[in-house]
Amino acid sequence: MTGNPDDGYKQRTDDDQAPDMHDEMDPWLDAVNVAAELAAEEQDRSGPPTREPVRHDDPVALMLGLVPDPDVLVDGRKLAAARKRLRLDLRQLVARLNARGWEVTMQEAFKWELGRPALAPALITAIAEELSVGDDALLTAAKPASGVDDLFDDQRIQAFLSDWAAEAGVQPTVLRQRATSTLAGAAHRNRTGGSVEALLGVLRQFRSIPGFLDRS
Amino acid sequence: MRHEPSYRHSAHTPAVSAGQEAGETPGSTDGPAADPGALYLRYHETLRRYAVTKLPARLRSEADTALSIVFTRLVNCHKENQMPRPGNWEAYLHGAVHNACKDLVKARQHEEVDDGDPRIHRDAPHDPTADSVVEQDEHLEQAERADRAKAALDALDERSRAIVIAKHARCRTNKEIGEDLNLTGQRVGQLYKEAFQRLKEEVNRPRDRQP
Repeated sequence: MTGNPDDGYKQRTDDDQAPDMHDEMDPWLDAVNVAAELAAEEQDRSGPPTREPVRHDDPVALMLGLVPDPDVLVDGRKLAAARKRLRLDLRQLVARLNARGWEVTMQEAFKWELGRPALAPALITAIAEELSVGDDALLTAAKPASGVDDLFDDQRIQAFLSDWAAEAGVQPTVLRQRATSTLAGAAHRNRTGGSVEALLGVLRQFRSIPGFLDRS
Repeated sequence: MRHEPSYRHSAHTPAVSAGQEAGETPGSTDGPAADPGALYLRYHETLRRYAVTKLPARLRSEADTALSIVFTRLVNCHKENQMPRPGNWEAYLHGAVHNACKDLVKARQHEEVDDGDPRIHRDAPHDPTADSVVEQDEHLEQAERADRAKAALDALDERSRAIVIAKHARCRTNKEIGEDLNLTGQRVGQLYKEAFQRLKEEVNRPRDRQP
């Protein structure tokens, strides 16, 4: 808003139909003005939604299974076969994924079935769930991906866990169990990007969360 | 004290908020629950920016931690089939990030006090830039009021929301707004009155717990 805010208020109230409401809402009026300013900024920024893809080193994205693993490829033919077995057309599959919040288009889904896309692990899980199959039934058998369990055996991860455990006063196994459980809940499978670096990033993030170990 | 603004909708408010098409609302009340990962893909940019504005300067680099707090909680909700189903995820997540920022600030304050660094205990009372407790509470209250008002505004239908924004943020008259919306100035006034009433109801609604 430009100019004197009092002028704005005066102008607004000049043709207000309900000054009595303003009297009642007075404690909230500043808050409403701030909210309207924020919403106006959003309006000004609005246009076709363009989403920034997540960074490959974004620890939250890694934790949520949103960073595709180049070693984990979906087999388009297996995907199409699973969909047809369930007598779903592509539009229905896309609608189901959209209902879960995934911004997937028909065009994208069509391309998946024609190729071997590297999709985000959490999206693979969502597709598999909608098609009532396990994740592996949709993947190429080219190269088995390393799971989190394998990564937890890495020396750097173990050293990190030992340090964290000493600080928190718990056994490293407790930390491992807690982290694995959260990761499994997030991406539903033992893949988080597949590298020690990625897992270290996620664990560092967990460590910085106040009370991470307090939650059941 | 933990403030938990309500972004759920009553019978008086639409199930789908302004700016969201019915088909675009993830995990709506009768459909499947939203996946936390899908929500993060949608909102991570705005949430991260929001967290930066809510954290004090010394903690701004911890915006990712604030987001981690929210999304690990959501992951746990999802795992336990307790995923929330707000009518407006964007507003809900902003409220959750705000709460996470407050939790983070409190936790880091405790860490600073408990870490045994004598400088903190010596310097804190003499810091001329430090807000008094009363001022901090007042700022917090103002920010919370604004957050609740924003959530309430987002919960209005698109036309009502546009009218409130035009009047409060753009200082436009009913007649001007009416010209844009193809309505008479008088009708804009009526709609504004109704919107304001709904805004008040939303703002005063008892608040739900957020992850």
